[in-house]
Amino acid sequence: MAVIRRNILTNPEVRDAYVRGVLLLKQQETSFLTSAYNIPGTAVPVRTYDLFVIWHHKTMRTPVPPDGDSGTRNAAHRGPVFLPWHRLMLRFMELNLQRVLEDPTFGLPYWDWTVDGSPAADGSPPSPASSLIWDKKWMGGQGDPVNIGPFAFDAGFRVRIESDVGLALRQVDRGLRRSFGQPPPVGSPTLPSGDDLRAAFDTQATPDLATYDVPPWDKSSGGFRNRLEGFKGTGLHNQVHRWVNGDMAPAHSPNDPVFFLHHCNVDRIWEGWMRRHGRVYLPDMTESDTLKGHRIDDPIVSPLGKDGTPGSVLDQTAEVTYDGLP
Amino acid sequence: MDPKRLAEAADPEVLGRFLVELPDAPHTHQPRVDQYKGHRIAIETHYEITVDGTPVPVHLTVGNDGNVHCHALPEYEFVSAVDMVRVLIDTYPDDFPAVPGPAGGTGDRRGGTGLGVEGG
Repeated sequence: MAVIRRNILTNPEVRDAYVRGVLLLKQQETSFLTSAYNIPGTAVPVRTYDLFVIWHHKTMRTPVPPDGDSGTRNAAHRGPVFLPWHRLMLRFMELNLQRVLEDPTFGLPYWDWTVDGSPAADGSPPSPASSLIWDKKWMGGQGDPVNIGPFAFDAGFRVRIESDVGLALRQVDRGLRRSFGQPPPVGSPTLPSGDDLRAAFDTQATPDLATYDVPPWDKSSGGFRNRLEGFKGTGLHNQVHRWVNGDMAPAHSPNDPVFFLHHCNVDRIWEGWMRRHGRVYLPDMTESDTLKGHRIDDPIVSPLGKDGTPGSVLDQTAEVTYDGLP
Repeated sequence: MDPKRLAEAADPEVLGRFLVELPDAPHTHQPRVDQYKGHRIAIETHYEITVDGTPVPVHLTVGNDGNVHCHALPEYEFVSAVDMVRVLIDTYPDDFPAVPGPAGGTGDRRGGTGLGVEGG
């Protein structure tokens, strides 16, 4: 039976389970030392949660094609595999949360940021920063370090592995950082609104949004993937990272537990698009192997090897569903 | 996807081993290329950036639209390299030690206000 992913703001019991699970994964030591990942300093065990930080970091450093520039297109971002790779990452996190919670029915919750980003007249909070999700019983607030909520410095939450400005991993021992709504160029003063999302589904106004992705398969592409990733249009996924800012901005953004709530909503939006247009994906295998890693039957960067491809994650309804789709 | 296969792969020991064996790809730069009236255009852009006299080992890409992307800021595109460095200073405060401010205190490294937009 499929687990149901629910809106965190209307399901406090799921919130509590998520917080408990994250804190357990933050404590759980793996058998791998930091030295195994070429992280300088005294070798200490890497925690299970921090494996996801390393995974995200190393995947976005993997260029596609292999002799290309990871800043142009990499194995997790700026190309078609953006949505499948993050879908698989979410599923891995969900399975680990189920394991430590001893609850195989647990579904990763999502944060519908379009509610917080819409005008207050539409029933949204007066400002995104005043949303319930930043309350002390939920994800905590902003600061350097964050000092309220379950992931507060004083509560013992620590960022242990981060990327530096040159994209090398290093050890740290500090609190979580968030800095909401900074003006450009530092951040974004707003979250995406419901109108922004509706525009991303409006294929009458923008016909190429009915196509998953189009050449040149990068940040300049038309199509739905790039609209949702946020390099075209109003910003969507990218905008949320920039609005939260702090640790949500760099390559080590999974350090903020909000990362997984955010990407669960991104995945829900993709599922909503597939409900409209079918479980279709591009590019197919007729495209040049310079796109290897982004084509439908190419392995995603994961332990699944050839069993984990964009095509293999298009339909996960037997294992995972959402309580509602946009 | 086979749920059993997925669960096995998600095991921390399996994921951790995979990540140990996943190579660290070197940073590479490729020129911007384009075709125009039968001509092949290639443009390579090199930046030398210092902050307080110290080189910043940052990985930059310039797109055909002229925007600058810094891979250390994956969700950003900049029209100004100066803006980009300012955001790096805010986002990676540990890489840019604070300097004394005008009143003898430390400079504001969190930014967000008073950041003008300049051409880069």
